[in-house]
Amino acid sequence: MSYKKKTVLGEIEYNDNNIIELPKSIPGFDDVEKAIWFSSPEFDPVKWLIIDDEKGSALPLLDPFMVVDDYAADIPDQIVELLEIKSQDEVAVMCIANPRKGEAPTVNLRAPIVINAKERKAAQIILDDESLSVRYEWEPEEEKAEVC
Amino acid sequence: MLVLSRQIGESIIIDDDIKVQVLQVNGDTVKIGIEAPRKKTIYREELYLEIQAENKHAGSADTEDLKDFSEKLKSKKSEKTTPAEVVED
Repeated sequence: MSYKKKTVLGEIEYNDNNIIELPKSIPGFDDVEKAIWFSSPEFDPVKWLIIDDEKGSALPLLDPFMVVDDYAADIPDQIVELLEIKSQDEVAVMCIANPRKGEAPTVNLRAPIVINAKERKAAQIILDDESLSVRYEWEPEEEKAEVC
Repeated sequence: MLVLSRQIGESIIIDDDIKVQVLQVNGDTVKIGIEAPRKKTIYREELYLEIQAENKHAGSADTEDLKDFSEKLKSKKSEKTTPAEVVED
């Protein structure tokens, strides 16, 4: 079954396999229980979690290892239970990128989105580690000249 | 809002299973002890509000800047493996 939704990215098409349940609402999007997983080649490798609110808010998600070499998210027991996580293989931890007008986007390393891909359930967690930034600024490394 | 006065060492009970105790008062700082079931999440309000504001901004931000960001990530990642699709299309 295919559906259409108006979002801040324009109209998107999705099917049942793209629907993600939010058993616990994402801060800022109270009482929204559903989201849509969306990807588009023009934004790759950034993926999207489209919130099923009126305007179709779109959270840009990325694999934290794309911006940091070392990252660990300890998933609390209650989230493991809530998302019905049975095995590590079915879990993805993605961070929200925040586009900023005229500046490089920042990445929220402190509060990642945990996704159980098998059950299609997701929740945002807030990690205890105070060294993780809510607004991490990532700059690509300078191209290293090849040494002959 | 319910406002209660408590002395050091005294507690309040919320919903039968959450206990909030005043441990210490030192000038402007109050030290609070919270006992709650593990499934309850407890945050400092300012952190929660910060994350809420970040989420709202990220969800409706202009995506033009993000395309440039994606390009940079793509060129960086071409050396490494690309992450697997989380959910199949």
